Amino acid sequence: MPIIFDNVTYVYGENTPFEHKALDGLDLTIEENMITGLIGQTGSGKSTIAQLCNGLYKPTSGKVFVDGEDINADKKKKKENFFRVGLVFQYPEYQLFEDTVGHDIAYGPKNMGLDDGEIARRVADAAKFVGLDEASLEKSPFDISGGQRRRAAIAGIVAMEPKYLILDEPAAGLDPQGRDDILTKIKKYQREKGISVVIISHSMEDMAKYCDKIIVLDRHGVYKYGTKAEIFADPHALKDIGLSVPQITKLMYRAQMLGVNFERPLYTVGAAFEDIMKMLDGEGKK
Amino acid sequence: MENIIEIKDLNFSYRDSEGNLYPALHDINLSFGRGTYTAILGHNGSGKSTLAKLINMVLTRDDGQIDGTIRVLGKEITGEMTDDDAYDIQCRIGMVHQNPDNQIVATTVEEDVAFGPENLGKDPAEIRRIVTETLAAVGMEGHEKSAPHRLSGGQKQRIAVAGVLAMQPECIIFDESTAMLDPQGRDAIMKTIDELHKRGDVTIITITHYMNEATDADRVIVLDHGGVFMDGTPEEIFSQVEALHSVSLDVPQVTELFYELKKAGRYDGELPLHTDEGAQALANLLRIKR
Repeated sequence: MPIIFDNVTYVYGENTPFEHKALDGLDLTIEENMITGLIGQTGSGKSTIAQLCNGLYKPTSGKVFVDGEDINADKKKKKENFFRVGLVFQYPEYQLFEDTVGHDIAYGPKNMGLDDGEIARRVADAAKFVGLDEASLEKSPFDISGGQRRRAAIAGIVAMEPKYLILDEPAAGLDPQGRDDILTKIKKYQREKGISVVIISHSMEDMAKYCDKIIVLDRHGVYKYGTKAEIFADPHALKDIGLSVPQITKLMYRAQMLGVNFERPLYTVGAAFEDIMKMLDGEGKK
Repeated sequence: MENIIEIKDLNFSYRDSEGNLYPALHDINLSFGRGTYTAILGHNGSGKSTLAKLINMVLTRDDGQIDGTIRVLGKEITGEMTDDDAYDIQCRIGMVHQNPDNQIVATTVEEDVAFGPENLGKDPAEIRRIVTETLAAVGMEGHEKSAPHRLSGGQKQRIAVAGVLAMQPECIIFDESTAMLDPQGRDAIMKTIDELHKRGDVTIITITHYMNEATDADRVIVLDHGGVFMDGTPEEIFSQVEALHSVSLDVPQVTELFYELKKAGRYDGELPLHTDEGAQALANLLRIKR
């Protein structure tokens, strides 16, 4: 089922001099069973939304529904919702704390009260999914590389087998291959499990490559929610709210100004290559 | 051209509390000319940040074993240094980090930018002039009285740059300074770097994982597993697409497209690095066929 925000307002530091309204009457339905990108300028409320989804934050007013339930209605269900909506924070590797990587990944499943056999299975599955071998499960989180630590942290959330997975900048600070690797794995995982995934990112290129739909936030709430073609159709409007389009899309618009006509909007290198090849072949036959 | 940084036969290993050594850099020979703009690329763990931290003495003999020499502004910093000498080097080689929140110390923008020159013991009129000039240099004039925490990520990072500039450094190292910024913030920092470079008096070294941020540099250095893997102009480096892939790196999307077209036998020119050159090349390619 979708995650639904019904007229949600969230105020940081209410009744203090630092009071700041991060969300103001937000209505949003995040569709299920796909990868949704969440983009917006710094301060547009992306991370606030992420933390409202799993009940870490409680709306100042309004309601958040997951699986049709108001997640803040019953305090006893708070924990259940943590397990149901997995949230991977920015730079999650700084939150590893157990003596071994394996114990760290097991922390979530253990808290769920699962038996040892099930915990072991989940740790093994999650480690395999992120590409950590058995030897690294025995190591201290401090003795593996930064990229591996990131994977271990993501595995810790995945091991809870959440129905909804929200990742705040999962690829920030990774090298290009590390970025592609982790995002490809997340996409594969979503396709296999049929869960709902939300990815927050500042990289328009990554969003174009890995998401099915995109939510664009501006300072007033949801600016646009649609397919990649719909979102990247207006580079000027995106620029006005501090965002951008993938470099390949910029190239397409520049070439259009020089008289090249494309049949569809392009936002990945693969699609651009295909279309240009078609244009070259088509022209050749004439 | 005068070299402000000269590195000869440098090897560095981190030392842990038990005295174990972990090699991080090997056989580094590099020099950086005054006023140049160099981008350093490399996979996670390739040694980029280690190199930067050795240059501005965040890492010293206390942190590990250094063999070879690093000369900064004519002084051998890998030799015996007094605390005053070390402080002087750190003032003259500035560094802008990934997270601006870790670099901002004061409650207003002008106090934050004034912090460095105040510590250097400059007189108030001089400090006022420096604050005004540096805020203008990063395009943040008019924000003197603003509270840094109220600014956007890109604005905060520009304040951090102004804070470094206020020390009147001869070199600034940007260590993944755009990694946490939104597209507008990233553009603003890249524009600031470009303008500093045009002024010509500051040597610029950027470390980044975004390939299209390296295309405007004069020179690109690629590190791999602690050694120098490539060193050349952006055009020379980004034309070697397969070599870059082999060390976990990438090329800008525009370059990747033309590389694919070249592989398919449809393009035989130079690989463009920027969108405007790319668009022109694309227009030519499709028109020639007509």
